[in-house]
Amino acid sequence: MAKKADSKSKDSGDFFKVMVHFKDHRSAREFIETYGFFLVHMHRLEKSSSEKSEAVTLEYFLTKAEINTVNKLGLEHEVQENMSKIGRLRQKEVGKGDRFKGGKIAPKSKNLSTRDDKRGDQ
Amino acid sequence: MPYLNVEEIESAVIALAATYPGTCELITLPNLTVDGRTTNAMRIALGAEDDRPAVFFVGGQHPAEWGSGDICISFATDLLEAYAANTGLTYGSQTYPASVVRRVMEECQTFIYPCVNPDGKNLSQSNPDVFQRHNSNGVDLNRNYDAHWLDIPAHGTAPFSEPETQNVRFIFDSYPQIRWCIDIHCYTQLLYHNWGIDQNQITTPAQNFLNPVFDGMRGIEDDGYSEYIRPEDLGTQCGLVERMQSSLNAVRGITYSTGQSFDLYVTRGTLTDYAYARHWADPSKTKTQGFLIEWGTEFQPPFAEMENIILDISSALLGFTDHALDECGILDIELETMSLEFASVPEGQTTYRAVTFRTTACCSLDFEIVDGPSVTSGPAGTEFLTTLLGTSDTAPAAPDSFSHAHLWISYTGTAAGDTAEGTVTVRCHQTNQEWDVDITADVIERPSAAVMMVLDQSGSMRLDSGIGPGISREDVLKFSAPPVVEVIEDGNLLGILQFDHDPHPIMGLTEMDVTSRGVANDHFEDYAHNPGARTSIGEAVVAAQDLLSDDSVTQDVKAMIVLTDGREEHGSFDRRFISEVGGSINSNVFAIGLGTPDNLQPAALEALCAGNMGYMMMTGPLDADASFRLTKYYQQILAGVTNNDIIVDPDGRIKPGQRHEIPFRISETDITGDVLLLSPAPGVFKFSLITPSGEIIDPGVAAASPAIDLGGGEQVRFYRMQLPVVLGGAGDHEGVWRAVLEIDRKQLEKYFVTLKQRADSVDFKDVERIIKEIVTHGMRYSVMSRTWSNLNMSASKSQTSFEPGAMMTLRAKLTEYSVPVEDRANVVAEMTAPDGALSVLQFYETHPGIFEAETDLMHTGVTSFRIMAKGKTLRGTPFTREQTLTGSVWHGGDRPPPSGSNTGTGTGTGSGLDLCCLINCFSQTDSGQRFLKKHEIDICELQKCLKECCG
Ligand SMILES: [Zn+2]
Repeated sequence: MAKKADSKSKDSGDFFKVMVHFKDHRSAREFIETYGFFLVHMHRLEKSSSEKSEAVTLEYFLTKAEINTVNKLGLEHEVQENMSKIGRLRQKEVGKGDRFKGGKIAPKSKNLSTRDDKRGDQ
Repeated sequence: MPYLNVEEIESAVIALAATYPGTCELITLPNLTVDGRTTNAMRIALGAEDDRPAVFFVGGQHPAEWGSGDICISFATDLLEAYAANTGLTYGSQTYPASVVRRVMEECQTFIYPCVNPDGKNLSQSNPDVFQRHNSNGVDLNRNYDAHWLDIPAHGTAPFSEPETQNVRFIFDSYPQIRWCIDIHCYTQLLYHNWGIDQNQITTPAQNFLNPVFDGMRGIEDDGYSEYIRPEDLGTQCGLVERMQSSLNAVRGITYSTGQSFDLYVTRGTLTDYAYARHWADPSKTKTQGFLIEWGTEFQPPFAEMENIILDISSALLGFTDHALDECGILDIELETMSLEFASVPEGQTTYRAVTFRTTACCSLDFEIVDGPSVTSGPAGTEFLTTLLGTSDTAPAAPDSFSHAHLWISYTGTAAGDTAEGTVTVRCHQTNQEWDVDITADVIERPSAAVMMVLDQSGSMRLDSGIGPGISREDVLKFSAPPVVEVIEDGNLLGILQFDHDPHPIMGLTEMDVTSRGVANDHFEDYAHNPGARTSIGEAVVAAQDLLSDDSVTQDVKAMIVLTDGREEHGSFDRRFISEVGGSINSNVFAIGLGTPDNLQPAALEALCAGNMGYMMMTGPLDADASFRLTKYYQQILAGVTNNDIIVDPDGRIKPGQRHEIPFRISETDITGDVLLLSPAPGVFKFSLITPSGEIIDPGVAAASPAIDLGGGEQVRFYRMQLPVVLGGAGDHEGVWRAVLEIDRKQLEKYFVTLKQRADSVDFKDVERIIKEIVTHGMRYSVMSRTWSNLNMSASKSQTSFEPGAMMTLRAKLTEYSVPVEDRANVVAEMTAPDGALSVLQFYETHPGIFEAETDLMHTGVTSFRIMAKGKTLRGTPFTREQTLTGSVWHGGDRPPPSGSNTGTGTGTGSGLDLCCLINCFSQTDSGQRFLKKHEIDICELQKCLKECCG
């Protein structure tokens, strides 16, 4: 469960994309189930390599505090973009008010085959 | 047009239900969310709820994944509005006709629940610093379902502890029509199906999420526990995921990954698994196939991109629903090759075998070599290898028939007598089944041959051949013999011996390679007849036998091929006749008689061949249409001597602009395939092959492929292939192959220039005539396909006499792996009488695999029999084999052949006599001189003529 870190730095509450590496599936699963961090994806090594590898990488969105936890566990990891920064940009693209007036106005399809100029007419 | 906020999603659902009352039913969920919000779903279908099958699309379980709600509202709007307007729907490049919309609306019920977790989404949309996957109780809703639920805080206090998941369950419980459920998430561009608990398996029902024996083992890859899924359900799910993928890809070319949900990461208590688990936990509940979409490449793409994603996913949902109604549920895999046998691989030869799976399934199935191929026993240097075709293959979906996947392994023969064993493990990605396939191999020595070419160089070889203007018998020999040298495989021995009244060894038995072929061809180039010389075939075969008998010659087959254009005639030389030396010959003897039986009187040579595992072929009088005859006789004999069978051997003519495709059949019994193009100028042809699967083999492909050689010289060009030929997919072996010929106009012009340059030795008018004939009728060619095979035909003949009226018996023996080809072949002979009349002779199977025919040889001259066998191999693959034999009769054919006791006195009277000797002798007797005087014949002139004609 995400909690804002106590640190006063400007991005202390921000989420970063972090790749966390595990030597095998068992340790990855234990980590997933011990820490309810925000897991996005598990990356496997390509199976077609003749030497079969057990290693996995988990893609997480983590706060600085959570990254600290990963650090303390001694897990190999890389910190990537600041996702909160991107999130702040996207806030501006959320609708304001209610375009459908509580159900009085129905949405319109933009994808009917017979209509000319199906897109961007709203 | 921005993202919908949580209020707008609910308003949109309400508005759609109000606007389309006949097709959209509002379902207000019974539980308020933790923060007290009301959520709505809808049932979209023509008319009231009934038992039509239903799909269920769910969005918005996770807060950060804003766009899922927008997808749901957009798709619902599309369906409702298109149906009302009776139109189709267009998503990017993909258009669905109105009929698809009608089908979905009339044959199906579509449940859509756009936003399960509005509390979380509202928080995410209003607070950029929050990234979490929970509801307002801190629970990841998609871990709160009753499907292998795990007791950790973020998963809730119990399955369905949350009001939001209870709402989802409410829909399942209220609408048992739901057969398919898609949970819509983001991101990573994935289309998944059950299970998320562990890897799927279809073979061990006991390994399932309900069985407490396996508690604690789930969720780990390759650990001995895998989650059972019914094969037919897996087929349904894989097939629907593939359909989603193709429908999505058609919009703007984006490819999503597909697979089972566990491929993403181990998940417990998810909606996707709950949908499918309901029926397992309680069989009275409908079986619902569970799916998961992870759209896009980020949680909140710029909305302009989100609009594109909406098109992608809408197409996937519509394609999914349309296909789901087809109710495909089949998945069957059969390993066709329980073991791989590299049987009888010749030393140094590389052969390919494939682990082959036959599938019948609603979806494509991926197979991959995951272990090996490895050697378990065998001499040093043994290797089983994967090939350039890769270590994986996919059998395409084929619910109504079957398809194949092939995983190719190669093996190269080590030393003769070696055997080796190995193993390879192949896995099916979808079912996680693994197969260990045993590999065995044994190596043989390819039988090799030592061949002496015994060539007549008597004076008569200068005579006109009949084939064309200025072409002597000598010329015919010069273009017929070199292809033997070109085509004989490396490692065989070849020698050349010319003879007149004496044998003249020209080239000792020499192992054939690039260099020695050149040397042999130079000898043919230097060949010249010896004017006035006599003909001693007896001395020639003895000399050839001496060379073949040398201790250094250890080949499996020793053979001589005698070419002669005359009868035995020693003049004043004391030489042995064939009849006197026969006992000392123990090599195989083949003979080609260039001319007519009248002229050659080949009884002794026929007998020598028949007694030494060979046969004699007579060309008869040659004409333009027979220009390849000697070449082909040589090639046929060579094929037999070097263990090759001829598949077919047709002739033709082709003009510029034409394209000839000459089909020939290869069967699985064939180890190699050679396709020979014989022509006076093979360079004039564009020559390629088409394999049964449609791959094209041309000189470029041959150069790039280690298993295909392109060889040849001035009179022949050929492809030599190790079978199967693997250029892609299943590889090519049995089936109908085609040789393709076209004329290369530039090369033809060059050839004409060459002909004109030769005009100094030939009348220029004749050259003009030859060119005109080629332009009018086309270039002559012969395409001979041959194979080193386990399916063999050997033909033989016997005749009761050499006099007209003799009875000829033809025999063809067909074997497959040395076992008679019984009751599965038909043999006929195309019979050409001396006068050119054609007829067909039907053979009868007198013993298993032995086919016989009889005919009378009524007319003096050569009758040829093109024996053609057609049949099926043990596995049922069609094959053909071909061989030509000739039969000769002439007046006086049964008189005793010349021998030492009648040397110098000829053989008597009639057509068999030695006229030179007779006239010479007679002219010197008293009565002879009286006779000549009486008839006013000048004795001196006669002596002159005798000297001229008889040497
Ligand atoms: Zn999600």
